[in-house]
Amino acid sequence: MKSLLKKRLLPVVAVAAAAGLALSGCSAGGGGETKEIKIGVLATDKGNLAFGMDEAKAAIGVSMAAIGGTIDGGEIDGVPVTIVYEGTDGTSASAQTAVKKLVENDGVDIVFGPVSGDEGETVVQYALTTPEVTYVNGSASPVGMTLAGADNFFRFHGDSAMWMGGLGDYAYNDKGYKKIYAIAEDYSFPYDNAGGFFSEFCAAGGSVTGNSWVPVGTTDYSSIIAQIPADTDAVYVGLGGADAASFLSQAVTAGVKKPLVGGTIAVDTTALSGDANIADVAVGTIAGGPVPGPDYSSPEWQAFVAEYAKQPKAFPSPSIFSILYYNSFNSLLLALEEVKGQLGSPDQKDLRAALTALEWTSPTGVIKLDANRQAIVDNFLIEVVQGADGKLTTKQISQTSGVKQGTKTYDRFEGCPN
Amino acid sequence: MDIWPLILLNGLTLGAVYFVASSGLTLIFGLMRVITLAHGTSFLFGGYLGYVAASVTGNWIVGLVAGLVAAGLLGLFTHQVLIRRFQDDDMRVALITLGVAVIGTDLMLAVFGGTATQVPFPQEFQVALQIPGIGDYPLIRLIILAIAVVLGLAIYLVIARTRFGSIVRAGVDDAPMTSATGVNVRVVFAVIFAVGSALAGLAGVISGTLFPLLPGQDGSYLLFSLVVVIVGGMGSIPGAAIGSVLVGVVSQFALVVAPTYAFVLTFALMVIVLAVRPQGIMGRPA
Repeated sequence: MKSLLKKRLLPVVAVAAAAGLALSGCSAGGGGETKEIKIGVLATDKGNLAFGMDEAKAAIGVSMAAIGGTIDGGEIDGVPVTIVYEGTDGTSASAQTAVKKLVENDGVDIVFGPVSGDEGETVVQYALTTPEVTYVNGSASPVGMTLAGADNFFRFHGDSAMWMGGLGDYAYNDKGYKKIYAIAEDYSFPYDNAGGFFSEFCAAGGSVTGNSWVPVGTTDYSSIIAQIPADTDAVYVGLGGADAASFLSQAVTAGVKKPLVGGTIAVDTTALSGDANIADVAVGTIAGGPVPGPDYSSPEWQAFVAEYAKQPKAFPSPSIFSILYYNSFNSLLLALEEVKGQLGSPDQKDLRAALTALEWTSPTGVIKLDANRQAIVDNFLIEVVQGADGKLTTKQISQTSGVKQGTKTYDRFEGCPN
Repeated sequence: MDIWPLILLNGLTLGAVYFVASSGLTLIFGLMRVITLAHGTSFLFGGYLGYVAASVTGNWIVGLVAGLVAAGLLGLFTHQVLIRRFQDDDMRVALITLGVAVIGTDLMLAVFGGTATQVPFPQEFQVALQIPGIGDYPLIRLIILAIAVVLGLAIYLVIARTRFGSIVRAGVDDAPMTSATGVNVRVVFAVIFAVGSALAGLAGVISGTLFPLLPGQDGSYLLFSLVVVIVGGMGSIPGAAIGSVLVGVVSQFALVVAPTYAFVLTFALMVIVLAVRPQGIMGRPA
């Protein structure tokens, strides 16, 4: 039976592979004029960040609408643009499979994404082996991604350590938290995110009463919550998406009374807009990141929020993922417009020069790149408050402009990062 | 305060959710000797429909019943329409149910979206109970533990004491011979498949009350249910209970002692049981 199956399947696989190869040959564009641009989008549609794909499409929808296109494509100076999507579950393995499919089977010219930290590190490694393709990051934010030397990889938002800038000092000096217990997911993004916060917090004089690095996708936090020592002033929550929602609702059930310090994606709209009753613990949580409070008043921000709200499956306010995907995708579109849809050869050199030189005012402030193709951006500190209607929202504490990347990368640490 | 008793209780209540999910799988697996890879789909489908029903009516019990019934119907459909004809071909059944799982995952993502939702439960359950030696403990987790214990006893009594139960047990041991004695094994199979799926749906609602419901959980609960059934022994309800408690307690202790290796240790448990007792703790050699 098995060998029969193999015999039947083999020719089919062979034909499919040949078709894939033939297709990929078409759009790569050996040299000269670009006749078609194919953009492959990576985003999460499974796991704790499963809403990533909808947020990516909302962001791309806003950006493409401005040039008369749709989430499936459009036209730039007569050159047709098609956009294809590939879902992942947030792990390196699935990102690897998906990016290879986009580049090797679909033959895309540009890869846009991914969402999550470990995925980003995988895609950067793959980018090093495929110098003919240009990569624009979606929202993956480990520090090391733009330090890996891939000169075809561009990131138009801050890294996760940059996002925490100023929060450690604020927690210690203004909020008066001297001792913090850290709970965070066990992968690259929370390492850098927590590393950025705790290096500043510890330097200010704070201490860490313990660290729990939990596997991504942990749903039961009851035993983790039980470990928080009594002599702790606050709890650092370096969790995201469904993991953050789980933690917050179980912290309510377990009667956690400590104030919280959020990692960048812990108290995002994705957690606050869920229907779990989390107000008791969430109100008063401080966090740092690239998302301003809803009261932020720049015209670019207001325009983006209005356009975002028109997208299918939009959250009550844009999440960090839609904002980062929008800023990044729009950067790519602006560069494509700059070169009139002609990528240049070899290795899409015109597009890359345009990306490198780009400077524009995004909804969250001016974006331009440093020498490592890493963005210099604005950063925000926020606090969770209960709105007049009883719904949870955020208010802005401060904004810092022109934040540059540091060179320190973090790994899992116990106590203070060293 | 010593936290170990608390963690043990957390493990038991988590095991309660695993038990409800895997008791259905162990019945299907044990009786029909087919691996249904759509078990996680029944779990998540039941959970989502329970969430909708509980949100609309404001009644948690209605949510539990809705999840149970919806997943039961899904199971009946899967069995009667898709796999009944190929029931003796376990490879085909596995592939068909895998197909159902893949399609179900994407349909549920399209309908319910990628954000985590949680089944609403009555405010009066949202309190902590004072337990000697442990301190405050969320009442809802104890209620769910109680539901699982009652359900487990009920299934056990039906299997051990009723005529239908004896048919099921006979079917587990030797389906062709049971059929030869005049029992319509096909009807028994259909009922067990529907009941097994319904239990998965109920587990979905229960789990959605304690933890969020989100895409991807269909896969992880299928995996945990398989581990429980393999550890406990195929077709054995007491085995599923023991397996669930072991998996729940081990994963909770692992989260405290070595959080990075929590998943690894849970699966190491399965490896150890298989190495020492290949048929599972309560399983009988085939």
